[in-house]
Amino acid sequence: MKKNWDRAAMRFASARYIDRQGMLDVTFENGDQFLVAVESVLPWLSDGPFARPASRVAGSAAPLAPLDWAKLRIGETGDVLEVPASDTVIEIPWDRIRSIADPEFRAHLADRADERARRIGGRIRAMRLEAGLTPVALAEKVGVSREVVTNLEAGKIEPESDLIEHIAIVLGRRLREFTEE
Amino acid sequence: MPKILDSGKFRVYIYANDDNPHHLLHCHVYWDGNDHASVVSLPDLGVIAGEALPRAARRYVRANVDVLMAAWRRLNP
Repeated sequence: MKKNWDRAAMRFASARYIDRQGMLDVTFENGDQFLVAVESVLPWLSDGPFARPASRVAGSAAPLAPLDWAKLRIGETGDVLEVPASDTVIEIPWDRIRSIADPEFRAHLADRADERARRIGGRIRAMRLEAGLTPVALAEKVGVSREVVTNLEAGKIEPESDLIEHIAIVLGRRLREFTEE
Repeated sequence: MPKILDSGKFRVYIYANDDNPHHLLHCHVYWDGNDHASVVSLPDLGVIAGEALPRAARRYVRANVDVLMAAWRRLNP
């Protein structure tokens, strides 16, 4: 039976850091419990001792101060873990933990990724036809092969954001048009 | 805090360190406090987990999907 990914599957009931092992021990409100290595959750910490000053926060140019794992806490929304550092707080959302520790959730993500690819592929095909372009013509404008366009439209490629945005620009469309109203 | 949008009724977050094996771009939407939430893929707004987005929330997120995709790229390079 497929699991219900409801609010209880998203919210943490408890979380603790096991210092000796470098592991997080988390329990969700639906009763699921996982032991997950911090190195896999925050891979940018993995090239040396945890929280060493040279580490950096994803998306930030600022060096990261040491993390205070003793002050690990569940955030206000209930579905994010917060680890204080001296001048910031590192957040670990529930789905990051599950995408690493929970095989059922990984399979669910794979299904959702397939659905997304099909939805976006269908929109690209509709937009291309409305523009009166052949797959070859669109491929030339975007700078990819005809096979890439064909596979995108068939939902066989998980489209990266850069490619979606490039296609939107080429077709004179807004990103919101990839969403059904 | 990675809160990207706040309409007063709906809050939309994109977290750093939130990539997954499928590089499935997504955002976290909360409403009515923290009891109701949804995780939806971008830019198509397919529900990954949680509840279906209320119609007004869906309109709000859709109208700002370009802002959200830019935020994802910045926070999950």
